[in-house]
Amino acid sequence: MGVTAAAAPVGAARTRKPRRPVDLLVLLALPAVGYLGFFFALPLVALLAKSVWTSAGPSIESYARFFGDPFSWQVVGNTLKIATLVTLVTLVLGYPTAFAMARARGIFQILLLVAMILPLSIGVVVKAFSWQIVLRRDGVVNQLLVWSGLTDEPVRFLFTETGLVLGAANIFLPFMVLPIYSVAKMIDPRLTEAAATLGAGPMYRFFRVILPLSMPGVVAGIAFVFSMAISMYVIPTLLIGDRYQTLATITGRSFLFLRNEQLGATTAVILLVIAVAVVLGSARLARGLRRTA
Amino acid sequence: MDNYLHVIDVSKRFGESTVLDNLSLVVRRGEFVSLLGPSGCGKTTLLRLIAGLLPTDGGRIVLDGKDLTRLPAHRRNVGVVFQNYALFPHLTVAENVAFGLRARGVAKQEIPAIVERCLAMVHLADYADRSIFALSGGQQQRVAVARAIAIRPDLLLLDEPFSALDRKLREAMQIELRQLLRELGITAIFVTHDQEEAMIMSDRIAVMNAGVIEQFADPRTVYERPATAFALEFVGTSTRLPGRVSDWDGDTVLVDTAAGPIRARAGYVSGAPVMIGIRPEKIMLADGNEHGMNVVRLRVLDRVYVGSKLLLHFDAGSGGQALAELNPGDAPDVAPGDMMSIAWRVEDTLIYPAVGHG
Repeated sequence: MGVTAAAAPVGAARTRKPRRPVDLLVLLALPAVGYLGFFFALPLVALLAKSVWTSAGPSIESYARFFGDPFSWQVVGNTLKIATLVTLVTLVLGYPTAFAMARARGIFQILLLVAMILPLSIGVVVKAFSWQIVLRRDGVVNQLLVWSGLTDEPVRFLFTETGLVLGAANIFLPFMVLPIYSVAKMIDPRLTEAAATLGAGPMYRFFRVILPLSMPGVVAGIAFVFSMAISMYVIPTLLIGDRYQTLATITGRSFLFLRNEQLGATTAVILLVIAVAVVLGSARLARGLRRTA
Repeated sequence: MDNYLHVIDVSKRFGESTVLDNLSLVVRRGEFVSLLGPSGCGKTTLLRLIAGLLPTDGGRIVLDGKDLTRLPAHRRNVGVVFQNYALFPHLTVAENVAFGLRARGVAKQEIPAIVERCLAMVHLADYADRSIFALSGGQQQRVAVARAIAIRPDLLLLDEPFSALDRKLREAMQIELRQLLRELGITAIFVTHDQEEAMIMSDRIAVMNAGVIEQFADPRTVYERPATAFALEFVGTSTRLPGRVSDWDGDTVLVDTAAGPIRARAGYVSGAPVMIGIRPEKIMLADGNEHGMNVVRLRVLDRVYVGSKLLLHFDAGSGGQALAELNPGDAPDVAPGDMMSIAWRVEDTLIYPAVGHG
């Protein structure tokens, strides 16, 4: 409301339509729209075209071939499994962290925020390499496990799904915490107090007040982390290797090493469809939860 | 009426500062009590201690024979109407009212009827399915009241619930809420810094200052016989004149003030510094027949006509002012600069030790 009210005099002067000042404001988005249209939407269309184009005209042959191969299903399975696990781990770790940050006071909140944002300035490659060192047979994690007596021998983490999920979850954690934090900060602490005075115990307060109100942040976090985890390329390459394929690594290999652009385009489109479906689906699910809460 | 809520020697500290120090308060069943005081006097803290939203640092809170002191808020059955209403933004009006019933596990089939009844009480029956964002401030306030009374609280606490409403709406809501709570027989404690609001709504007012209850009495006593200089100053308007006791005859003292000698019924030793207080409507124009009254002759500073009454401001010497509230017909020709004799009964002269006001 503040935006339209402030823009009203300008709109009135220029267009003589004082009731619709929004028309002019839309123009502000034009540079970004042009940029995205040319450098993102257009290549996307080209990619789609490439996946269905054969010498005999358009056909879904390459999709049929992909889904006809059992190995492809395993790749899709790997991709979904890793992305889901990474998302779950970041959600379980990130949700309480975000609320602790939102309720922290003064300098402590700033410190937590910095601790969360600073690692974003370190490149993914560097972080993935660091995790290689951390997860090695003689790495810090194994030294700790053996020293504490939890295990007799070093555990194999590197080039396993566990290692990949651990590393990826660490790298994507800020993208779960920050959206939940920004929503949590907006939740009036009096709402939980009001719920308490109405007879709601801690569990009831969490599931009926805090969780539904923080759902927009959770959905945003899931959308961020899932779409990044489903399409990550560098992290699996370094932490699990070539023998474990996901849609993203297959896409990369098709373009870079196999020179099979049609296969690459096909897997890229499938990846995109899955990511969009999951993100939209989780948003819809959250809306449903909000309503029944 | 029997005593219902006992707040016994309750203390609360935040870090170094003591907000409440051994405070005690007894509220009777069905009573409407206001905690009246300036911001920072501890009234909201006391409310939060009773609600269980803050732990006490000593003392006990007993409601209807049950010790609440160690009970968490959700086991106390003490309803709260918050200053900003704290309505649940993700729920409709009806769902907000039903929240407490559901949380308490009231049988599902009974809830709609209770919600409907509570919304009808606050005249919002037609708004059940609306979003709370579609309501005005006054309507939101009613939802907050309906939500709090739906759980049939043993005690209802209200934290400045009208402060966000405009004056006209506020006055209407004050009368309405008071009638509603009386009909339901709900014992209520009401926090406000607005003395007029406290007067209108309360059976008794607890005047609070710096974590201490300075006076706890019915509105008329608080107004006519303020227990302390603070209560006099905070509730209503008054003329306040510093002075020194010059004589005591065992029944009345004679006080020297900048406006002249004034008599008051009290016992003070000669030389004691005191504060004289007079309510404006106790002052009348002297007509030469002032037996047993205080009479002073002062210069008129200002004359304010407010329809039903005429306010006269006088120069009371040493920078002090005296305020008289008269009928408009009593002094039709008075103009600033005139000298006039005003009088009031010795019994109506309030007197306090001057400590803290010197």
